[in-house]
Amino acid sequence: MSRKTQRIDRRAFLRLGAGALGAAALSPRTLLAAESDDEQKLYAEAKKEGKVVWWTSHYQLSAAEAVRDAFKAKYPGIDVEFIRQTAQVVFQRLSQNLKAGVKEVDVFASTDESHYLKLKSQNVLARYTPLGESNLPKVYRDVDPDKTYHTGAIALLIINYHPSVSAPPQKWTDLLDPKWQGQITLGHPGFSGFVGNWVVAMSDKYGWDYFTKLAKNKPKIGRSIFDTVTDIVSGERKVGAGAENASLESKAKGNPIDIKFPSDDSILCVSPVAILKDAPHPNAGRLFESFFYAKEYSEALAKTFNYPLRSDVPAPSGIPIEKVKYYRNKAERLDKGIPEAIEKWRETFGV
Amino acid sequence: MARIRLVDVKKDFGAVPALRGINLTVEHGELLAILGPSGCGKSTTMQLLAGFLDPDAGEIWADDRLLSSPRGIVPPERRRMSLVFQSYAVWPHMTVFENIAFGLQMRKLPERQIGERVQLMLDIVNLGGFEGRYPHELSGGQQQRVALARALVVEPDTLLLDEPLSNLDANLREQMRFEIRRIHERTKVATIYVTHDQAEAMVIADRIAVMNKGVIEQIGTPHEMYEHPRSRFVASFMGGANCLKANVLEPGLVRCGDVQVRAAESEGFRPGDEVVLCIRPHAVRVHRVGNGRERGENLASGRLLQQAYLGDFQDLRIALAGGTQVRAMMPAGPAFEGGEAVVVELPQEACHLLPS
Amino acid sequence: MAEAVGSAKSAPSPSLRTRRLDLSAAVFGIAAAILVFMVVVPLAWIFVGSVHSDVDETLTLSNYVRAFTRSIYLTPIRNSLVLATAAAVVATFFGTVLSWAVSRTDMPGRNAIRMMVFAAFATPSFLGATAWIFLAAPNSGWLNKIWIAVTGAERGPLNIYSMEGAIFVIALYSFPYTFAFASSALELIPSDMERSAALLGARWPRITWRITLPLVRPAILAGALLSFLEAISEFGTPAFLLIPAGKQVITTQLYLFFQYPNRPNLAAAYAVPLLLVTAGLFLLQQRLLKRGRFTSVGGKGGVREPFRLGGWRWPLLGVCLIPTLCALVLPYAALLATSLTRAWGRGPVPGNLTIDWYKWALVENPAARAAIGHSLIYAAAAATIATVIALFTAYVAQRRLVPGARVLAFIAMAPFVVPGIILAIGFFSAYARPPLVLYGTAWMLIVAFATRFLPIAYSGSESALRSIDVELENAARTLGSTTLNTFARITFPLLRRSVVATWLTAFIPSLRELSSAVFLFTPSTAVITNIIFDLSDAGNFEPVSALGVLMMALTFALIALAYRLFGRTVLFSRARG
Repeated sequence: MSRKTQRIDRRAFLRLGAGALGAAALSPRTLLAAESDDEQKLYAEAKKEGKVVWWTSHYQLSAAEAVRDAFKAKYPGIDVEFIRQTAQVVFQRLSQNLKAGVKEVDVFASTDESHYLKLKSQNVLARYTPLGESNLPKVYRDVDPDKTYHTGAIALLIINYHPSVSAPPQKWTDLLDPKWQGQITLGHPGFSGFVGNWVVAMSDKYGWDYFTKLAKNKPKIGRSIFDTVTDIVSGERKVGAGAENASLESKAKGNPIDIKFPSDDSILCVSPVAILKDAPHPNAGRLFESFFYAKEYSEALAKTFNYPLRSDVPAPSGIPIEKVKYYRNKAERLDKGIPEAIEKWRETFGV
Repeated sequence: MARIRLVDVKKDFGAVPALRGINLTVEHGELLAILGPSGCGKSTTMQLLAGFLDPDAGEIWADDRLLSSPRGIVPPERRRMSLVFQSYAVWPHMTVFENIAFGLQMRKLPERQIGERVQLMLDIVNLGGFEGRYPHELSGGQQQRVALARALVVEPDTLLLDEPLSNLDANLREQMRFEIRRIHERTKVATIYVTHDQAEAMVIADRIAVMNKGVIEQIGTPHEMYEHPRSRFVASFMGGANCLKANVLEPGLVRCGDVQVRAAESEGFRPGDEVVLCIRPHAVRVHRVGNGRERGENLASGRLLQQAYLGDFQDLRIALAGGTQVRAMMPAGPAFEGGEAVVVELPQEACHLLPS
Repeated sequence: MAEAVGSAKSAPSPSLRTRRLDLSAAVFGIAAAILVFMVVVPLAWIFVGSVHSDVDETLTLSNYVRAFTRSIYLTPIRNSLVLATAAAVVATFFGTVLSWAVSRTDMPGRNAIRMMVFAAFATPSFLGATAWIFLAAPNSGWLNKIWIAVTGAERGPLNIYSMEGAIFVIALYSFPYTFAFASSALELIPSDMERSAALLGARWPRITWRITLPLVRPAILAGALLSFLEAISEFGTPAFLLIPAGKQVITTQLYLFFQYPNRPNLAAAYAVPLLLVTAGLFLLQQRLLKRGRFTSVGGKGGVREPFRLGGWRWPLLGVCLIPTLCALVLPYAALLATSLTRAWGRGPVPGNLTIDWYKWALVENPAARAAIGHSLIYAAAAATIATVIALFTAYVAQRRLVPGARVLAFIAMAPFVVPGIILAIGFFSAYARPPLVLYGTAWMLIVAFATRFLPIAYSGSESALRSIDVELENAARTLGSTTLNTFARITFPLLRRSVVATWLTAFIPSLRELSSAVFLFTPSTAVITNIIFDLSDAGNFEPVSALGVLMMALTFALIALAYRLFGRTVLFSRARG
């Protein structure tokens, strides 16, 4: 505890010192040099810790593996242990750990923004400004003014479909058409943060009635939003409410799947990332979180068909996020909305 | 060598009383047989003696050493008793040598001494040369002798034998009776021998204790037990006596059905008492009708129901006039005919009276 | 009395009894403490938790009210009952037919069928469920596709995402219970009983119906109850097959209670009735077995001559092949094929084949690699703990070494009626909080696995011990050997083979245990089944299959080794509940 505080103090002191030296003449170059200096120090500390433990629901397994590999390439000597699970599952496991006092995870990355509000109110997140956050487009900066969590990934929820479908749905409400009966695949808000996001967005846009009608089409309910991809690729179902990243990745592998940005808005999920206060590897955690704003991270994401965080890495779909017509839930809305959505979902869909 | 005493030992299993108070003394060098039907408590007595059960009441002593009482028992391994089981309990994973040597190893004897003593024991039980065999390579009788050797080699103060011969075939059983007796003569270890076989007990034991329903009915030498049973149970269990209901008419004379019988002794009974008249089948004599002795004391007419030819003997079942049945063992002679009217003689000296 | 003992010159020690008592007390104390730790505390926590609020931990009955008044919680109970009853009926039918065919007839291939039944027993049903998704998913399942290709129909006939599908899969992997019970009973019936009927003029169908089956009816019922118990406790298969069908069962509902918002106390309240039902069924099963003892009374040494079925041999073999085909051949082929494809939906066709998933599992993915290691280590540790404790407890209980030993035996058998998921809830409640935090350590899983399979180990040890005549031990005692030494020199050497068999019967299910593992692992202690479950939720069926194949390869390798070392007795040695 005291060591941690000390380090933070030292960094604060360095910043202060730099400011005092030439606040007026602070050029980007010196800032970069200072950051790189910080980065090297952090790397050295992190290396002593040897590894970072990262729980994520942000993207597909392959993307997480690509991020891990990119990080290890950039910072040899630090291992990345990660699990990829649906948001509610990782959150649940974290909650269990916190309750039991088990300190296992350094970096927590959920797709359900409301998780961070809860964690913050429990005072279990570390306050930290990652290096290079300034590289982000402005809309993604300072999601938490108190700096306990930061943007870690962005993703779009879209309609995915099997190419054998001649007239794919154009908008979310098209899924209510009885012609899709027995042909729709969905994830489960009780598991997936993305699906929770989508459910809240849909019920805010169209009321819960949307789901009552959707249930009549007898969708297959999986757990993760990525289940929809598997169902479509295998021909089990024709259309789904899926995530853009996994759909495109699967398409690139030659699988029969395509996506449609719905005309009544894609749903943008901004998924935060945070360092736990009790992180067993605090410095590796900081280095890893800072890595989210390095170009290598965005490249790894783009390579696995996720939207890069940085604007200097092209989007895999070819359409930069600014060009997409999207809807975004507010974090405060998700906080109440998702648990509600799960309960109502149970009543509507039976699971 | 020890003198074993059971003092008013009681044991219940749940609500079922197994032993209702056993008093018994086994003297130094004595071989005592506990004889009784199954369920009489003789095996429980054995378990108590060996220390596998705690008594609910009473005490078991070896000389002046208290072995068992409700407050505690000396565990089996420290009672210096050896037990030979009905199943032999020869360890299947050990050779004959290892089986016999086990107890000596427990006593931490030097190996050489163990070897010598095992060899000596093997000779005693006539198993020389078998030491390397495994139990499954032995016959039942040989396994039995291994069990015996294993029990004796440790020179126990007391040897307990729990129906040791019941798993052997008839021939071998007879042979082993003498074998055990011979070994006992040689070792003179105080021995308690549990059996349900009256003949076995008579051959082997110095004294016999007959048990029934959790109590000892009578203790005595085989001769006493056979000749002077003190209860109907002992009389019938020891050699299957005829037990007939009778009433005392005057000292020494009873009425049994419509026959008057004069008995060998009559102490303790008064006229009018209900008694049991006991007579061994071997003592009963059967005559054909017409040889003059048809009426009188100790003579009864009857009809032959069944007869069996046993070689040296014939086994006869006769219905007396009053309806009671009598069994007689007669030397083989002229054959009777089924249904033939006969006269049954109950010799006075063989007629014993017991309380009913 | 004390003086009498003290004055005895030849008495080796005046305080024999006290020492013996002390030892007994210590023995009892240790055994009781371990069992309390493993069984009583976790189960007690379920009851304690169920009457406490999830919000503020105050004493309340509101959990019960909530759990059993809301229709969304009541429907899963109904679903569970339907699922378990139907699965038990199907399993009992196949189990009985197969056991009869294998033990009483001259049907060809009896040994092969027996082996296959055992292989089905060793296969976790969630893996079967996964494989059956490939085979019989309504639109993409290979069997459906073949059907469509052959008949030109619009849709295939099979839908594994349904109650019927789940019943089918669970029955496929629980019929070995009835099989084991019925065949061990059948093998005890001497042919004389059947011959007597034959001499009176009956032919084999009538003999079977009137003589043979009634004799083993208690065993069949006992097996059926066990199948029911297994089915109602099953978590993986409903999670894979019924959630997509929009149906919850008790176990998946319990799992949901553990998702956010986490309501462990509500989960506990929800679990209590299930626990009572399983406990009741178990007691019923035990009574049936006890009453069924007459089957073995006449069984000593009787000659057993199989029925000559003549022309019926082949149709019977056909019937027997159905469950084995469905439980083994098709699923393993599907798993293997999927594990070798890049994308399973496209099927095992050229260009779609790869061994990358094996490389991924064994080399590239550290988590998968670590999980394989964890599975082996934890299962071995759990099996060892379970075997040692079971053997010890069974010994103490059966030889009545200490007063109250039967209580120990009862405690050791208690986890049998506790579905894995409920045991996990108890473990979580008990050991994820101070003073003893096992959660997050390997011990959490090891102890939970050991507890879960303690009853298997216990009944194995108990029947092994029963086969050893107590007189063998008593003989050693009278010759001066202490209880402990007797155990080491006599009992244990005689038990060695059974101990290995017992160890294996605890090891195999530990290796494939899912339902308790999903609650108790943390990512650093994940086992293969955790990885499989986690991967399956995003449709990563190819690595799931590869891991499944690896897990089963390990299992079968071990079984084969055991079979080679110890022969057939190793298999099905847990025929007793």
